[in-house]
Amino acid sequence: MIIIRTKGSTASALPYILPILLFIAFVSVYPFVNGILKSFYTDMVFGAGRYFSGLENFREMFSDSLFWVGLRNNVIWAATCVGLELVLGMLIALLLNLPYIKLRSVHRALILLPWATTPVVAALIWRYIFGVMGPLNTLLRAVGFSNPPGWLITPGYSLFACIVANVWIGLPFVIVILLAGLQSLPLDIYEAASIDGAGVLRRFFYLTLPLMKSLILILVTLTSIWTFNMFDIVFSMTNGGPGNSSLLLSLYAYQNAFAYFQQGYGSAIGIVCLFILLLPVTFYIREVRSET
Amino acid sequence: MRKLLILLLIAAFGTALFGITLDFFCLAWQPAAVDAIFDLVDEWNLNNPDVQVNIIWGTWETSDQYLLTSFQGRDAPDVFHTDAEKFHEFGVMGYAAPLNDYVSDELLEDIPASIIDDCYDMFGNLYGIPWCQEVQVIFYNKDIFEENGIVLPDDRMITWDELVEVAVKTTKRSSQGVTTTWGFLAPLMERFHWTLIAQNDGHVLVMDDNGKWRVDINEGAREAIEFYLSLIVEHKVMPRDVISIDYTSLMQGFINGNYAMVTFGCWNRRFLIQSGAVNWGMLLVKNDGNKINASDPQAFGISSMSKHKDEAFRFIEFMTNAKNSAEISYNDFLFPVRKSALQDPRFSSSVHEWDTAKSWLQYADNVKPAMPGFYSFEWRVFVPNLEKVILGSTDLDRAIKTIIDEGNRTLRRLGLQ
Amino acid sequence: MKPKKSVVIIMNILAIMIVFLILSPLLMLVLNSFRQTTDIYENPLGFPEKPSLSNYSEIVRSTTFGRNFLNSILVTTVTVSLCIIVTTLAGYAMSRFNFKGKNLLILWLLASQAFPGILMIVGMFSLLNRYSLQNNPLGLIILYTTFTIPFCSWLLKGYFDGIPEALEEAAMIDGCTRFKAMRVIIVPMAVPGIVAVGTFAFLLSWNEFFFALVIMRDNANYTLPVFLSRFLGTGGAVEWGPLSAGALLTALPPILIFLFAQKFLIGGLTKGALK
Repeated sequence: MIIIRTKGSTASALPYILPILLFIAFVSVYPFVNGILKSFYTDMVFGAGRYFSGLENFREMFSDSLFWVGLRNNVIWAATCVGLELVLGMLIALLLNLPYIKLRSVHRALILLPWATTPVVAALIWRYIFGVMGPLNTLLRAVGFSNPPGWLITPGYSLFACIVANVWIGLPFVIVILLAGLQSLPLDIYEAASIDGAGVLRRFFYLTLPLMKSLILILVTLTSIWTFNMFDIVFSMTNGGPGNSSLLLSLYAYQNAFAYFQQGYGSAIGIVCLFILLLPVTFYIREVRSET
Repeated sequence: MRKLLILLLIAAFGTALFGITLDFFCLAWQPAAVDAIFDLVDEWNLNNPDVQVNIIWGTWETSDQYLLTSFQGRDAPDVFHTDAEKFHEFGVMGYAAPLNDYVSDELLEDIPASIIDDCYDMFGNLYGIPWCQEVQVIFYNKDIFEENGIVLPDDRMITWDELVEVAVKTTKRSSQGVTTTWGFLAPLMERFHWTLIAQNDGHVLVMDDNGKWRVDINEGAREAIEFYLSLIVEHKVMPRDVISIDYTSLMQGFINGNYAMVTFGCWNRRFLIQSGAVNWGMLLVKNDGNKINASDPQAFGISSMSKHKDEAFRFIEFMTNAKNSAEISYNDFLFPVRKSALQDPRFSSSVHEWDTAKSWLQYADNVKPAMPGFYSFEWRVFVPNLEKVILGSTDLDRAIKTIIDEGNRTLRRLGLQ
Repeated sequence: MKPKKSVVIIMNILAIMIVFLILSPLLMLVLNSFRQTTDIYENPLGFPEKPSLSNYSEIVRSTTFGRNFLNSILVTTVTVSLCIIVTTLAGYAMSRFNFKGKNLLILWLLASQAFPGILMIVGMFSLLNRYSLQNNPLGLIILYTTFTIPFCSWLLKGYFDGIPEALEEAAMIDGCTRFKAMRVIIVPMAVPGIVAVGTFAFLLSWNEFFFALVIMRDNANYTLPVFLSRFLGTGGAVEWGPLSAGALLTALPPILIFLFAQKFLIGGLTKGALK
């Protein structure tokens, strides 16, 4: 008997995908479309409701200096976080990948704990660490820096402090994924390369990286997307301050929507963020689909 | 005995069934005030088994967001507590219920007109009942003043020039040029600059006869802003920390002697007394004859969606009667608004400089423009541009021009112009 | 080519030091939760002098912490259950079937992971109002499915792809319905992936802050992250003692569940998301 392998028809798939289709319709597509629609309206103060303002919210954004501050901060934030996570992550993953490292699975489990920590809790911990009289400054004073900066109350340093907190949360994920990637690399190529005289650095740049290219690309795009939209850390650590020096677009959108009573404007900011993220999203989708 | 038990059970059941619960959104945070409010609400709940009050504690920083999303979500607390001038705004937006039918003449007479005016709209609808007020003062470090031989006049009021003098004297720099003590600190979040503007007959926002607003910074306001900024940029007696909103760091700085003078509301005495680590006093600033200082009254109101407005007002009456408003205010290191409540001898004692602060009450008034949406204007347009001048990325002229342009554009979008 | 013994020792010590460094903030949190606030202010880097549980009793008894803990548990477990059911079915379908619009569905699932929270909450706001879902755990559950379902369904699809179709086909030849085959044969094999998905969904939901901040308004209705951020505030000196205790208790469930399930999680993630 010949078994014809068909992939099944749409009808037979229906009961399986009906739940997700319902969810997607009500909880994903609907708010997405409605959110975009709302960005074409402006709320008025006198309780007179809203009026249709077309693209005015976007025009306003163009001349809104705080928006540009937020955008600049967001780009610096995302680039620095992802960059630091990648570099540090790769270094630590390489270390843990060394064949003679003991207790590797224990290390891996423990390292992942910050990733499982609630971001608000992480923000709290780092807010404590970066306090003017906190442990970091106490340590710095003890080793001779007599005037360590007020990390959270000085423009420039505040964004850095938030970046540190976010990297602390994001690094474990990168380490673990990179480690898994490294561990799946075929060993024979390396032996052949070292017999041919290739040093550690050459092996890394010409063997390891190319072999892991797809994994790294997916990692970069995924973490870029998560990092760009991150809200919890800046809200809980600095609330965008001081002087809006750590203002991110996610926070600015929240302020506009819920503190300044302009949901349309907040949603417009969200749309701009989405546009910016189209780049990594496209790469992510392409890379992931090409693997399947 | 059994009959009594059954009756009690029926009463309890009946109350549970027919009794109502009022949600009371409250922003008090200093421990003694929180305790006082808990006590009063317990007292009310005991005496009013059919009208139970449930306290929802909020924070000042998030109160606007909370209230606005509550109103929009049609899930607002029955009774809510916030700055008095916000009630004008909430009333006009239809979120706060008009209270004209509830207030008694006795209550209206007992509250100074200048304070309760903020809670009215143009048509005479009253939306909030003020219950406490503060005086914004300047706390100074007595030890630092003594070290520098500074003697204050008896009424402890100094002019703008004298303020600069004192600040310059008390600012100390190390040999490497690092400032170890700053003479003055007026954080932007404390809005001292609005006091300066008011003292100089300045205005930033103007309403015309049609109820339309526009941004109009007159000479008096410009001078006041310039004076404030000169403390940082020119005289260098005030640090850039003014842009910080971290209360803890700022107060720790004052206690450690990093700042000789700080502006805060008189409620801040609690923190200083509790820490006990600094020898503090209070002083005020005046502009020759103009002694106005920020009063920031707070009020209670009822949400327009509340289904129990009668009971809600009875509760407000209870909380704002002379005895109770005095109790809560005293524990919060604030003053009650009612003239009868101010008679309480505790407010006139010399302990913790209550008497000094009380003598300054007469000069306290609302210094912020009474415009709906003022919060948006202040934090989206006004303050960010001042911060740019403080951080040196622009000069005052350009900043003022930007404030006027962006401000008017914002007002137009909000429908205020 | 065996490395020198000294190198081995140095590298191992380095690894341990790095792990310790990474964990040190959490250790600080644990230590602080047993110290009094005044001690913490005086001595930021110290050990508890007189370790006590007073912070814990204070946070549990004098605040809405207990109630908020239950809220978090309620919202998270319902979200996770919903998520597992929906994504198992959907992941299986995407793996085994070729249906009309499959590519579109997959595209949407992948792309929607990048949707900013503000867009979704503004889009849902009036709907939540109309059905009284604001300030309501049910509203939060619905919102949480927006970000748990896309990622988890994709994860499970990848996982199911790794399970050979031959297995259920063999069963179907013997007269089994596909659903029964899936239920009895495939799903048990996919348990590691499902555990990974469940853990991931748990993590995301328990730790979520933004949506809860916007729509939960009563301090009785808060979830734990919102409770912590309200407790923090800037309007007063931060009470680090009780706050550390509360923060630790908040971070503990996901950390524990995660430690339990981490083998599944890593396997599931690497097999599912990246293949």
